[in-house]
Amino acid sequence: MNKTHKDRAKELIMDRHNSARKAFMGWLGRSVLLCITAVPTLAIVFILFFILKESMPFFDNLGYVKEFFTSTNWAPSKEAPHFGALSIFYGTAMVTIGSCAIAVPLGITVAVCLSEIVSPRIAQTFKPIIELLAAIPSVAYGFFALVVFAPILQNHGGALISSVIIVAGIPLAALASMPASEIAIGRLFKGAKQTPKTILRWGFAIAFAAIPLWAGFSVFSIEINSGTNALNASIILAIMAIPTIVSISQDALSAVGRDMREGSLALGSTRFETIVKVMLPCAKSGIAVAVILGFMRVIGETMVVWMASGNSLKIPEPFYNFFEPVRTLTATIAGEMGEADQSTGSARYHVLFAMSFCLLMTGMLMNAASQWIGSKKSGK
Amino acid sequence: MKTSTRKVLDKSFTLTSYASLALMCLVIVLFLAPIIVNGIGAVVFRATVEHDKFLYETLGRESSGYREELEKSNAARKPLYEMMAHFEKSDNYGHLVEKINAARAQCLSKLESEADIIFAALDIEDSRERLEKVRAIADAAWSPYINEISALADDSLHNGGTLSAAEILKKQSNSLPGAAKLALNSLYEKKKLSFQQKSMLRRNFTSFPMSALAQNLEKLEQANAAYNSFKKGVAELLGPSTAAEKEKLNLLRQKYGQPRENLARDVFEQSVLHISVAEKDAEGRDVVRKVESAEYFKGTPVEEMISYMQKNMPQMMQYHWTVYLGFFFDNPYDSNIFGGIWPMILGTFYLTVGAMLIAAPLGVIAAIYFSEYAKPGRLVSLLRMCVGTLAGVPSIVFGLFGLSFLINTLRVSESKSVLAGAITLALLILPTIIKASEEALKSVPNSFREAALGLGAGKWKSIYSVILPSALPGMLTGIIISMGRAAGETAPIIFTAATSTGAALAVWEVFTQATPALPWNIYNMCSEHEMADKVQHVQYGMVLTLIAIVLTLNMVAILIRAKIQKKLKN
Amino acid sequence: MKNIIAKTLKLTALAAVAAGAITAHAQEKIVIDGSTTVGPISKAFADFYQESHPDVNITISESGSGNGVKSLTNKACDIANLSRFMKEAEFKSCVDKGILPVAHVVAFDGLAVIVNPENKVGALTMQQISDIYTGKISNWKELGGDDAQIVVVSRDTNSGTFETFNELVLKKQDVVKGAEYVGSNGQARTRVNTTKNAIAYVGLGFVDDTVKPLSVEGIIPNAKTVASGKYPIARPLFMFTDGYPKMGSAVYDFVNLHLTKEGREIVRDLGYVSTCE
Repeated sequence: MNKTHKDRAKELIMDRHNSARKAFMGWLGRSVLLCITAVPTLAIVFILFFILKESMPFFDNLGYVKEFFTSTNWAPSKEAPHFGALSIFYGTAMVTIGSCAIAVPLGITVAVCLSEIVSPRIAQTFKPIIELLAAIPSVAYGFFALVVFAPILQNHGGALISSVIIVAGIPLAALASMPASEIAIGRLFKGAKQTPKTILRWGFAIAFAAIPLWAGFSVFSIEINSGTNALNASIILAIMAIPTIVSISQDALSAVGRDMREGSLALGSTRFETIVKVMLPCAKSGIAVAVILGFMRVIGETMVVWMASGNSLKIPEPFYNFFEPVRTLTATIAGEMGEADQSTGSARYHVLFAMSFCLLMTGMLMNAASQWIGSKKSGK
Repeated sequence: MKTSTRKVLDKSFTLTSYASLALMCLVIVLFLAPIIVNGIGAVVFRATVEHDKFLYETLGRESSGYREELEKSNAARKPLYEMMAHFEKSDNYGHLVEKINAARAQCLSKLESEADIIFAALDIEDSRERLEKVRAIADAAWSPYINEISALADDSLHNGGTLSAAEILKKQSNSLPGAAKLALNSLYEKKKLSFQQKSMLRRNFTSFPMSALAQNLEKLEQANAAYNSFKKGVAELLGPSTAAEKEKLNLLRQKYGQPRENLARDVFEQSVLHISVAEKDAEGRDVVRKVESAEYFKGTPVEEMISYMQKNMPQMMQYHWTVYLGFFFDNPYDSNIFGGIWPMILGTFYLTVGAMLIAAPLGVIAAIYFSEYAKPGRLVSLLRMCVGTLAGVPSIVFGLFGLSFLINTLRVSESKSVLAGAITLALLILPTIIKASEEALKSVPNSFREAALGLGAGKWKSIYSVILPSALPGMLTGIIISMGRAAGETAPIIFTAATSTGAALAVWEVFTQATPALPWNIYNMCSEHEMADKVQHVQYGMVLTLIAIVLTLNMVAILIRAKIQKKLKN
Repeated sequence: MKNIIAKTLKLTALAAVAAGAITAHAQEKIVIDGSTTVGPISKAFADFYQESHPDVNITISESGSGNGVKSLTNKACDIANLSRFMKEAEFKSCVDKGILPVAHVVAFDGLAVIVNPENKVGALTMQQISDIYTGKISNWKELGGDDAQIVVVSRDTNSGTFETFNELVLKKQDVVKGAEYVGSNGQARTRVNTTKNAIAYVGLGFVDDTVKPLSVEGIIPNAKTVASGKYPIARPLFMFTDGYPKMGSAVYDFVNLHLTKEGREIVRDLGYVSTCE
């Protein structure tokens, strides 16, 4: 066990060698880890590069680009092709707006209900159900839209929509009449007696309820030419977007502190007022993120719109007519790529990449917006 | 606002939100109910004897009671086939031919016996008078023959045998010109006639009976076309009538009748009770018209067949409940009209497992880097942002990327292959896996890390032996959920991996070959299949299978998560 | 926990191997890509062919005529199904890549113009059909039917079927903007079957009892009228190979199947018109 100085020095040197090797190995390991971590980044770069590369030949041609965004003349297979994609952009916007109009109010209401109103146990059982709704593959939704929903919409569409309007609309209208009548009474008939006030309230309620009733009856006899139309696609897309919106806004709502809620309640506001005036404003950035993510899910969805939207190249007439078939960007890409003569690298092949470039840009912008909102919140 | 109003508003808001919850449940039920009911219908359904016949003859599986069923159905079909055979081939076939031939011989012999009258007529100066005279002679000469054939046609139209009658008339129209020519030649020998006179004779003594023949033939052909349309419907419903006929057919869909009760009823309604016939419309154009066959065939033996079929359908088809588990494990036959969906299930399995095998290691390692190594900074936030961005790329864009990068540029395979599809899907699910794994790593208490380091373990050792195991269930949850997502995605595999038909692949073929897969084939079957409305049960079955796969994966994930939460609480 | 992951991995691997083992190893393969119109013929041929040659694995993608050419150009398929002839540019790019496309006409196909069986209209002229598809006629009343808007259904603008229709009937005019586009013949038929006022065009093989074919210029579309050339909307269907296939190879057998007795019958049974008619 007698160690000479020499030996000790040797050991020390070895130690240093060892630690240098260790450091090197650590560095190497970290670099490998970093490289693997950079795979998503690389993927993004490559995706951007290839989509851009394939769409560049199209964007190079300025005549095409102007037509692309301003004309509705889509005739890619002709000898002198036209690539006016305005109606396709319009169709995309229409379906997206339509589905958001359904999904956002419904999704936020469900989220509020789950986080504020029902007991945690019920909320706990509901969460998986909503997640399952999110997990169902889009082609299954598309199948449902095409095979089950479209024939119903086509044959009994008027009756279906009018009954939805009447069943949902009358209670909502009656509710809306209440604050309205209160305001009217407060402003106009300050000193009136009880009886005329009651009459006024009932009058308001009936007048308000008459609106959905009228709307319901006026759409009752409507004839829907085609079950695969913007409405069908919007409804099914809304069902797909709701889970996203619900789960994210629910998280945002439950992140709002108990103190806010309890403070508001203690000040004597009702639960409704607490939610509308305190909870929602506090969670607004989280809800905005939820809406954006729902929006992204809708705009990037392919199978449902391909199967359910009817793929017509016309801007509906009048422009808000949801009963007409429309075509979206994703459906155009999926449907036409197979037929585009890729071998010749024709303009028709590149125009589809240009479309996907537009989609990609929208997606990235939306994503950046959601991250920006998220970071602002956490910075606050 | 008044307190009462506020209260009402509050109450009604509560109600509204309950209603929205109820609406969500309703949506789920309305969505899943038809898919589950009809999807189960792909496996458990009312089969006909034709289904068992297919199983026995093509796959060699004999279902219980098959022979008895077959006997019963054959017994029930026998009278129908007899009726049809009787209708198609009249009994007095030979007799009729003789009769007609006799009439023809008689008419032709008249040419000779009345030669002098004919020559006299031909010599008349006035052309119009001459024509009339010759016509009258021809008319008189041929009328017994023409009467005979129109009697035959009318009789067969009323009593059946139009097919054989048409055959007789066709033979007649083939042989008549020759016979007439012979007779005319013998006439020419008697007296030298000018070319014009000859052609006049030819016209009147050949074309005249020929046009009468053609008229009657057309009547019969029209009736035959209608009957053939009916017969085709019957064949579609019941399959070929005899084994010999079956031998002649090449398509599986023709070798068997309808295998399911609902299909049999549809075909019976659409192709047997209704037929399409070609007719002239008011402007003399040929058009296709759909008619009720009972109405159309009124007063003919076909009406009897129809009423017999209406009465005896259940006996002929032998409806019975059956469970066809082979739907999952059999190969499809004749573009999915028969058989099961095994290649699609296997294809989905390959794609999903492949995507998982590629994405899970990458995702877990990236998550480890993010949560254990990365120090906050520009680089890391850029990397993180890219993960978020990747999650926001529309799935169809992944498909295009796979096409232009993996296949057209890198050439990972010559064309579409499972490998290319799996890589594309792996990129798609990578962000989900990274996020879930990072969450799982974050939820590991810091004390674990400190304890491990304190015990002298190195960084890597502590990650490997302490942190990873305790984060594993959380990671598994994320991986399983993203497997579900990969199984259901369609858009990325359209251009990279999916074909509409193909055999089940062996493991070593996944690197070079494309495969059918459930999501793509659902689309393909319900919108591109040539008989989309006849294979609806297969479509529903595939959708249900896919949903079941995805939901099972999610259920497993949820269960694991519930277990973790329980553990954390304790 | 390690156990769990190890077990899962093992199970997965086992399942994969088992699944692979069930499937027989295929010796020779034919990859077919292209038109949805020729699809049913190739599928039926494949079924028939595999019965006598179980070791030949045949995969068929119906991704459209253009995609078929692309696959052939990239040597990604052995047979490209086309419902139109190859375009000049496509031909050139094939030759550039050292591929010599050889056309095999496997069948003739008529394009039937179909309406719902309840529709009163039974016959149209070429001009009338063209007017419907270009938007000059928009109501069935103008054609002697009910007073109802015509729902115009067309195939996707770049399918071979559309190109044929566009050339033969529309004389390359633009299709009316409100037309619905569907991806396949089957889908077009389903649309017409479920929509009372719809009109569409499909390959002759897709006409069944659920829809009613119109007579065009007084001629009903069927095998006889198409083969005789009387029916005005008809076209040949192609299979393209790289060079003439080696005699006796599976591909050779396959592209010549339509000349055999069984092949002719299959073509006929599917509702197309055999080239030997």
